[in-house]
Amino acid sequence: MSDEGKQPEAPAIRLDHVCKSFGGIEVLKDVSITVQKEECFGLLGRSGTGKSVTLSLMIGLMQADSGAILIEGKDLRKLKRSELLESRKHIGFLFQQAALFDSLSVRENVAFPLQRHTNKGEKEILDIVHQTLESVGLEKDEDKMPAELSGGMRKRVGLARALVLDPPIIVVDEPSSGLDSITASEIYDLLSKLRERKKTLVIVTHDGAGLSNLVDELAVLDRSIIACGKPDELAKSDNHLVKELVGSKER
Amino acid sequence: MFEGVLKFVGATGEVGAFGAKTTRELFRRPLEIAELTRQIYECGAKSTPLIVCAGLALGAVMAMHSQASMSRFGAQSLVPQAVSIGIFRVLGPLVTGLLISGRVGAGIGAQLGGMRVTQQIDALEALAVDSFKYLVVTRVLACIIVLPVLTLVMDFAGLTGGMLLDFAVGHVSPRYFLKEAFLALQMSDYLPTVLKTTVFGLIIGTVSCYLGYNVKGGAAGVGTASTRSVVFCSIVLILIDIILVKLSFFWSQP
Repeated sequence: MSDEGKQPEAPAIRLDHVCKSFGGIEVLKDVSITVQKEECFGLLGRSGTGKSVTLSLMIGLMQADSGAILIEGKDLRKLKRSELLESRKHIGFLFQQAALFDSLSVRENVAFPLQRHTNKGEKEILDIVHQTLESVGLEKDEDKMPAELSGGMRKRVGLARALVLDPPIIVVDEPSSGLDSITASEIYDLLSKLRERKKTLVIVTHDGAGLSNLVDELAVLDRSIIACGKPDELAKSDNHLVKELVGSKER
Repeated sequence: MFEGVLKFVGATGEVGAFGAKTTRELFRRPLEIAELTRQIYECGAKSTPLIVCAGLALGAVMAMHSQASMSRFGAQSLVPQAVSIGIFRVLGPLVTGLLISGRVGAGIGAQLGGMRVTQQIDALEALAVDSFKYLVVTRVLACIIVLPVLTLVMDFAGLTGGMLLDFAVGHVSPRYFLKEAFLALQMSDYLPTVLKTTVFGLIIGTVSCYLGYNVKGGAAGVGTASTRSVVFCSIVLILIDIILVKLSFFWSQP
């Protein structure tokens, strides 16, 4: 069958001229980003330049002052509360500090989305949780509480929880922050495996070193997007900040 | 000064709006039954030992004071009535409310505040869960449900405390004490006060959830939310108690 006449597929995520201020301070200014399906997109920026705010806007945890945010073609501004919650089932979000529920064990944390959003039986849920934790190397820590885990382990549990519903889009906030280089590279290895599973990945970080081999496209954020392109192209940029962030591996 | 008054009025309006949203959400399906059950256990069952101990002590102290006062007029036989009316009408509901605002209100303020600053509330939202319905509505409803039950526990624990004290000190038989205590009580002594405690539950749940859910300022903010929950709940409870007692007089003149 010919593809002619077919509607072009909507990008997984699109931010269109988005602005956001807090108490008169402009945090994001005219930010436009397009993340295609099955693409791995990196958003680089120094601390306090609006990276985490951008992610929060992407899943509708905050409202933009102006501009449009579209997830799989749906404008978040036009969605009802129930529709917004439904659209979040298509996005797995790994928070910077993992944000595990500290009153629940590792197993219960990962099982939580399945119990909430599927009709699977208890046994099936436990099997899926076990498999997901195995994929992040934590199958032996199912009974531990979040307080008993190291920073890297918490991130991996957070990633397992984000993946357990098998969402097509994964959004990751600072995967390497607060981790030693070996643990950080383990997290990046897990993320690179997600690429093989044809997931759309959005990774936000200040650490360009871990990203350059992983992403298809990079954008550098400094309240607004100051550069966007392939990692190799950006590494040759004349802009000092872009060069510093993207080329931090060489340093 | 003027700024302070404006701030207070603004905060009161915000709590009112938060309470209105909670009430609206109470009637919107689906209800988080599992979480509600867990909260009823946390707020109710786990508070029972505290309420029983406080009730026993309260009843004993009331009996002691009543004995001391009434013996001057040779009216020791009225001690059971004084204890039962005092506890059922006045002290039971208010002391239960104040104790629960200390134990549960502070706990809710700290727990939700902690969840807010560690992004657990954002994580719930990111996992497509309505955090307001899951965290706030269940806790407020749990407080509304457990307060009348705990008040009843407090009332009977108080009566038991008074009875034991009267038996130990005044050698009054428990059977006589209970007969006299219940003779003095009517349904109108019990029902309005029980209904009153559902309002106490609504206040404790709403104020502490509001302060915890909207916490700002990291760990320090969590501490402040917890302290404010107890202080605000206690003050509002006492003020509301005065109003509701006055209103209940229209229903049944004492």
